[in-house]
Amino acid sequence: MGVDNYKLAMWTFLGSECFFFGSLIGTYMSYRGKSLTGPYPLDVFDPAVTSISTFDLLASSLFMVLAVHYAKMGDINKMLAWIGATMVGGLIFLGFQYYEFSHFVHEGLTLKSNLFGATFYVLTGFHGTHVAVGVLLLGSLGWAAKRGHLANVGETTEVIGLYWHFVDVVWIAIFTLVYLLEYT
Amino acid sequence: MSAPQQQGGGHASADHNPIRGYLIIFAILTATTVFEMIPLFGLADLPGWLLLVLSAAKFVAVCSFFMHLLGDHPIFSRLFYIPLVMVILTVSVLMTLFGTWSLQYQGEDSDAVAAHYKGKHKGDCNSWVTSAATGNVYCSSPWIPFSTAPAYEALQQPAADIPEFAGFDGKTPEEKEAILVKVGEAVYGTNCAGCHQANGQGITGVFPTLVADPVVAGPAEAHINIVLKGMNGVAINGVTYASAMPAWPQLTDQQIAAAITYERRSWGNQGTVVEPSQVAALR
Repeated sequence: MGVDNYKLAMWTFLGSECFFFGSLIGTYMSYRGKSLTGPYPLDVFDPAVTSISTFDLLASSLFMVLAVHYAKMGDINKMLAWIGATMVGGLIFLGFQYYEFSHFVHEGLTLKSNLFGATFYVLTGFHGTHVAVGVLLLGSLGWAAKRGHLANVGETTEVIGLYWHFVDVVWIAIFTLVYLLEYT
Repeated sequence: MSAPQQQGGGHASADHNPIRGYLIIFAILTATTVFEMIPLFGLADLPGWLLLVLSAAKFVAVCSFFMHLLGDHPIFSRLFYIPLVMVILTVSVLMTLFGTWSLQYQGEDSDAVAAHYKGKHKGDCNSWVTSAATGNVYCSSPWIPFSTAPAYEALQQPAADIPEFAGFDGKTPEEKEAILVKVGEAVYGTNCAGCHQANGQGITGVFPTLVADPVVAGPAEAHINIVLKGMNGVAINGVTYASAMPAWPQLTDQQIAAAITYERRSWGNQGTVVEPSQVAALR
């Protein structure tokens, strides 16, 4: 077909990731409002933390697309700078998730407190794991690009960028389904 | 979706700087997100369908312009959007089957829970809420720094010693029954109502009804044994149920006696009262 093999593999993988997150989101949405005891979502949700996390991840997607742009232009220094900015965005997101989880546990919401806790932590926890994997991927990409180990920096950056944007669009879905819909 | 089209998939064209397009997309995404947050901060209500549509638009915008699906080889779009559509259909069907398109709270006291949700108590609340039914304690506000908040575990009622049972052995049979039914309603609501339902009717063909059930009307020993040890594959009134009744040894003698008494004295049932000592004897 004349398309890059790695890119084709990444899109195939992201298609399967749709099913992975689809199963977790389907479970969360099926048990929505079915918890028999608290804490309930609005007892623990913190709009400020969620908002900052959301904007942070959105901005990281912009940084990522800029990194891809400069990688394709052959400007490795600018590409590395935007890769670094994207990684900082991911780390900030993970920091807020650590804060949010410890906060929720302190208020009595654990994996085993109720259906909300079980489905919420599994869904958002796996998303956070994907963010962490993305940060590691970006780190190794930056390191390999700087050392000149990559045959085609532009293609490799684009493929890893696809993974990063996917993690961002999953958050777009989680942000609406898990958080926003509680406030309607 | 109102994203500008001129930048679609334009990352590869050397004579055209796509950064301006990326910034425009980012500005639209940010503005949409700010708009979505209106209900998050209680400024106004937005309908759920609008939030879903906006979220889908943001999703497609990122895929089209940041992931360059628009303008790239169509095989990538097919690989991604076909699974995505299947997932959306699956989740929609699940939500229809489970009836969760609109929230209907099934908590311990559904009216109070609904009021709690609708009140959206955020503000500066600094208090701990005790659930009337379960005795669970949790903070009603997320704004307490967690380093200064008292530990959740420290606020839990010790399960072995329910306050209502103080001086239980010296009470009259009527007083004992009143205590058992009162505590039992909460224990039942937390542990049993998920399957047998708050009205004891169960779900036809899935979870057995407790109303006019031979075990609930019969000797207490059989009833206690089923709660303590569980039950599976037994036909009730000619119906065999696929789902097993789990064992509940983690509940205390007081909790089990209360829940069983509540079942035996509610919804028109006329079974005998069960005291904690009877449960202890059968453990």
